[in-house]
Amino acid sequence: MSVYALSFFKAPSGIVSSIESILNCFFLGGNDNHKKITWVDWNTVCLKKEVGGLGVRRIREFNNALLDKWCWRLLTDKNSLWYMVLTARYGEEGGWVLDDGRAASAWWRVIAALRRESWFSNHVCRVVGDGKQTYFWSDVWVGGVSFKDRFTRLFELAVDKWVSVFDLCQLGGG
Amino acid sequence: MSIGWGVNGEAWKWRRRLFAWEEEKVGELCLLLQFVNLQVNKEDTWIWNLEKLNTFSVRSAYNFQTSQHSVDTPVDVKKLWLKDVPLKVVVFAWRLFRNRLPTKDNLVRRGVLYNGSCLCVTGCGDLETVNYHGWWLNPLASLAYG
Repeated sequence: MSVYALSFFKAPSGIVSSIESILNCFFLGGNDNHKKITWVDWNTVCLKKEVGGLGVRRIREFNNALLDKWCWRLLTDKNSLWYMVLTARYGEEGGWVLDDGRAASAWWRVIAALRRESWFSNHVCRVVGDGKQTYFWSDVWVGGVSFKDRFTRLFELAVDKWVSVFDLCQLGGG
Repeated sequence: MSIGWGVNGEAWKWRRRLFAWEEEKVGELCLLLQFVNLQVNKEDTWIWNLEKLNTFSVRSAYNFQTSQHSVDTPVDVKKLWLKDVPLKVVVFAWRLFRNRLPTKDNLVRRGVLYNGSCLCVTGCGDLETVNYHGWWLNPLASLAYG
């Protein structure tokens, strides 16, 4: 399967359904002129083997899962060239590459939308060591919500909005 | 290292003096920080909590996103998906377990055959269904399909 293409581009839904219909046709054994009985529906075929399916991959979900890897690398791979290109083009605030709305490339729009999906952010969390790489206000590092969102007013009033946990701790007398 | 962040501590630099209710908020914030311990010489890291190793994997992301699809009857994978058995045999057994084979009762239900013709092809006098009589105990059927 075209894993390489799917790991970089989001397949249009029309393409996803035609790929799935080709797979389904192969499984059912018929063709355009000669339809056969659908003995097992496609949803069941796509279930994992452990729960009684054949373990065929769902293209859309597989595509998203491959693209989610970029969201993960956005967090963990900040020294890489591609990350620097992104920040140079779109700007960065508090470790967060900006979305830049409609002017953004199609690829970046897809990734920027995926990283905002709640299921993704619910499954990443920050483990603070020395606090040098963690933004006090914008990172989620205590209590599951960023301080920026929990204490909106205080964030507005803070002079240094992108102070690191480490620096703030130093100022506080450590 | 402990963090000494008091409400009036030097750590906070505000754009103006805080109102009383805002200072209460700072107090709330400090309460959340009281158990924070920074560790020297240990980098901050990200954790992906769907994987044991805490790093992202495409598999875990895919599994999570497809886990909402209805979970069907559990199957003992090790018994069905045997390496030495040809794939078409495994798929046949899989369809058998799910009762998705063109047995006569299934064909009648789908309107391919009419109602009177659902007796077993081997002439044993029973209905032809995917029950254990037809498949495991009927010697003619196991010859024909096995």
